[in-house]
Amino acid sequence: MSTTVGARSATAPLRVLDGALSWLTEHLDHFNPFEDGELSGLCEVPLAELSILTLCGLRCAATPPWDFGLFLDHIESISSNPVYQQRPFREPETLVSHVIATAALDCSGRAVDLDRVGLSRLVQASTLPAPALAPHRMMELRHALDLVRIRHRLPSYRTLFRRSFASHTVNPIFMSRPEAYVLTHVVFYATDLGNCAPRGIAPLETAALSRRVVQLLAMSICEGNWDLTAEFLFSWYLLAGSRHLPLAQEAWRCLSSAQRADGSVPGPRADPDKAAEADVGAYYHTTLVCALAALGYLNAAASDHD
Amino acid sequence: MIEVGVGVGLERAARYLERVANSNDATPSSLPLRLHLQAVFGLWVAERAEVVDAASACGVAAHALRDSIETNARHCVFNCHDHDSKLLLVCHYAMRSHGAESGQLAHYTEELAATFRSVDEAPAEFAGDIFLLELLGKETGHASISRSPFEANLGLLRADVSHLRRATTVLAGLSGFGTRHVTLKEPSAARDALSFILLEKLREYDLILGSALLRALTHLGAADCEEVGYAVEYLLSQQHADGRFGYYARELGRSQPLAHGDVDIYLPVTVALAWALADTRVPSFRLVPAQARPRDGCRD
Repeated sequence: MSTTVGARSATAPLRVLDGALSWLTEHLDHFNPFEDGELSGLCEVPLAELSILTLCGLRCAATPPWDFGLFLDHIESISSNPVYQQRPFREPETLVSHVIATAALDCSGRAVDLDRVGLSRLVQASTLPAPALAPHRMMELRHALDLVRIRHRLPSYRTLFRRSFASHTVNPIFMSRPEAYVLTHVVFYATDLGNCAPRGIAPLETAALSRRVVQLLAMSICEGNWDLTAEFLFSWYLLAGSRHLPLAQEAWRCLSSAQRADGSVPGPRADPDKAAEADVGAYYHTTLVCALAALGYLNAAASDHD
Repeated sequence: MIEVGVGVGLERAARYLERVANSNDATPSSLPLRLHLQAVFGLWVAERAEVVDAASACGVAAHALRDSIETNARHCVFNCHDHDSKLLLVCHYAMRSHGAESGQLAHYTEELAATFRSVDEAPAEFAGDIFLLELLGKETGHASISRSPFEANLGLLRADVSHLRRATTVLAGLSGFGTRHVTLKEPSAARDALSFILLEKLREYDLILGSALLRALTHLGAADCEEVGYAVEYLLSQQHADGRFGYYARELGRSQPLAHGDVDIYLPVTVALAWALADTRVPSFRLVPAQARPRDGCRD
């Protein structure tokens, strides 16, 4: 990962991005689902999150000064393991994580061995698209399948958005943390992580959603919750496609001062007395989302110049 | 036109405040003065919001409070400096309006006015005191009120609670408790910051600070903004059938038993919320009448 950019970048987003990518590179072991031996539970989730960051980095509209090669090598080495490859067929609930990793490799031009027909059949036959699946989860599945061109019969983004919590007018004072993450994730999938205008969300709904995101971004800053601050900041860039928000400057000031010298950004469960090395789990997600927000900033900056 | 929910909420709150004020029966376990002052303040708010029967309840409570203050003073257990100065001044005004003037409070206002006459510049936190003293007809001299008491912009988002409390106190004073406009350097940024902080403080269940922020936003002309609407809706959802505001079983369970039961917790919260709701949603509401002569740092 290049570190030369950090020295010459004047803006907070670039500094945060540079530090975050360096720290994540140093901690790639944490993104290895085989770290604890057998694959179990949701062990693929960190790798899927790393894949999302890699995908966003590869697609970034700004001239990419960062080399995501090490991330891709890591994703590729795990994806090539047959035990990993076959897991979705035995435990379909892990499918999205696997598909996202494949999407990152596919985007980079690396060869991927994906049984699209088999996976399409799996989606149809399994309980994955059952109506009981929450709309934002269904949207996540649809987004993943669309990314790698797997055929499916899932509802449209419009239908899924309308069914989701994000389409409702809710009082932000009552909103729980999980609901906040539902909202940001709906934005991630509807915009294909910033690769397109919001799909299935009408302009007036986008405006209302943007306003809600701004309120929640500010509330997260007040709370000192850097994980949600970065999530909402990224969401705002995805919805607005512009850098011009005074609150975003304040958010970057906060994220920049929260970032530690090693590049990590503490999450809500981080112990201030512990080094990030001793508790990677409490730091990795926030650090990663800060990098995503910075990529969102770079894309917005590129479209501001268009 | 008062929103139905707000009107009902204020009526219920007034009934609770009346019950609390009437619990002062001059026995050793009866309501302490600090709570009695708050109950009268709350009933005064209800009266000014034109809540049915609040004026008569406030009158009864004001007379009882005067007697209580004078009794305490005779037993040398009343010290004005144990209480918030603005609370005393508003209660003094309310009691006087009901023909229940307290000699102790009259003496206190003289003393306080003399203090302001002796300084050239008063910190902005005292703008409310000066406003109230002048309303009570006291000469406070020509002390200017210090400007730029705080940076009202998005930087406030990370301010600590004591800084925010100070900011709301300053804004309340500079606005003459909502009777005149306040000019700020960045009014739009101030409104944005305060409205976002309002949402977060209510989510953190700091209802008293949330109420003060709600009043501050109203005094900055932002009563109709979306965030204020959410805050009002939230506050109304936090009222018990008996009129109290707030759900504090958790705090009451954690602490040592309070000397005056749950009144210690519920009364200040109920007064703060009733005041904020009246200020924000009762168009005719003014805590006290406007004054003709605005001080430096604010304009009509």
